[in-house]
Amino acid sequence: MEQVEISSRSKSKWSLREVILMALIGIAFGVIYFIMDPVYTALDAVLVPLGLHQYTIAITIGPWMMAAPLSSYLLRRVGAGLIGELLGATGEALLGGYWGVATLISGFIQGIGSELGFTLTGYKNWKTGLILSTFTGTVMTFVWSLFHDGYLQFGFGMLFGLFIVRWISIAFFAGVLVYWIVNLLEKSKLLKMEQ
Amino acid sequence: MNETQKLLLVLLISIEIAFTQSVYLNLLLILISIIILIISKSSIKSFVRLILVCILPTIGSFTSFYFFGTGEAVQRIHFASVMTTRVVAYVFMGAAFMANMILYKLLRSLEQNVKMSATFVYGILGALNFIPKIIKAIRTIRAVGLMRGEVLYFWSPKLYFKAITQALVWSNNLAMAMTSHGFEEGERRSYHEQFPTKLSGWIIILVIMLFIQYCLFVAKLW
Repeated sequence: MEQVEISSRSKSKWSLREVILMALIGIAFGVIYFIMDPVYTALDAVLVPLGLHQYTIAITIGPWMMAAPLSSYLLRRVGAGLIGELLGATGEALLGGYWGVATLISGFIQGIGSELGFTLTGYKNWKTGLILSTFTGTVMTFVWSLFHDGYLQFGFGMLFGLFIVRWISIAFFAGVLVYWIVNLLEKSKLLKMEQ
Repeated sequence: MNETQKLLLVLLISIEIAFTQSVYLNLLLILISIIILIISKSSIKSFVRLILVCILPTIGSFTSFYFFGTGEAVQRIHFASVMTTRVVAYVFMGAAFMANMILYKLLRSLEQNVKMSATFVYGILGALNFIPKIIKAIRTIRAVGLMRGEVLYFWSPKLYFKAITQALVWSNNLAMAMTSHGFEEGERRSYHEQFPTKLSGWIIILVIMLFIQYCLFVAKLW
């Protein structure tokens, strides 16, 4: 297979190919999340009677956050995380249908959260950025959940538990898994990555 | 109302109800969404699907805020009801919006109204036409894995790797195809079809948003 040069010469402008790529990846991830659906439903069915529905959300948030760090880590450019996640959310929204507009709003929050991690390193160290992005992503989405999902009503114990579980989920999917995926891509020599 | 205005209205309402707590307003939004869905002739099947989608999250929201919320029982019941109706309102508003939106019109009106870059508009449009192919590709990837005795779960890096590889190839080909059909990045485009924002649309948005503020802050609906 021919090599695909991933990072274009322009550091700020998105090329047509990159836009299509991130939208396709967003849709592909959306399709993969549907594989997760039975797991989600089974888990939720157990946790709902216990009043722990919020934990199902916290456990399964990770996969939804993958597009942003993957985009930053692949394209290595300012704003790639936010735009990548928004493109991903658009793909997901059109695939799933019903969560529609709500997906766009959460995509925006998740994108900014993840992007912040890379911003903190001044867009210089991408590996540290990836690690930091799991933390900033967790904090940002958690703050949004305080209002949007009504977390403010919970006591400290419940909040602490939800935060930790969310962080673990994001750290695995949007951190470790993304790192593995990019490693596989680098090893396959399909990409001409800029070091 | 044009498509950009529809999107703006749904976004505004979605953000507003995320920060406010009124069961009746949420119920009203659900009712209006259902009426819109009926007017736009949604099938019974899609209604059943929407209701099925809502079941677990609604019961889940209610139980968790009732069991673990803080405050008196009355307050907890109120907040649990707010969260329950909020979930349903989101699902039905999303569905009502999707049922009345034509995607290419939305993207093109965003290009004309909010100056979204043509690269994004046509890139997304191009990618969306790949949805059926992507679904098929992921099925194939998993089937190929199974033939080798390898089950690819949603946490398997290999599954994502193969999907991204496919996306890399397709995005390259599609971008080339679009360029060879005359698409130029960053060039000024003229529009065959115009999608201007309408004054009536702005008035509808204003009236609806004012009505919501009235419900929330003047009438203080429960």
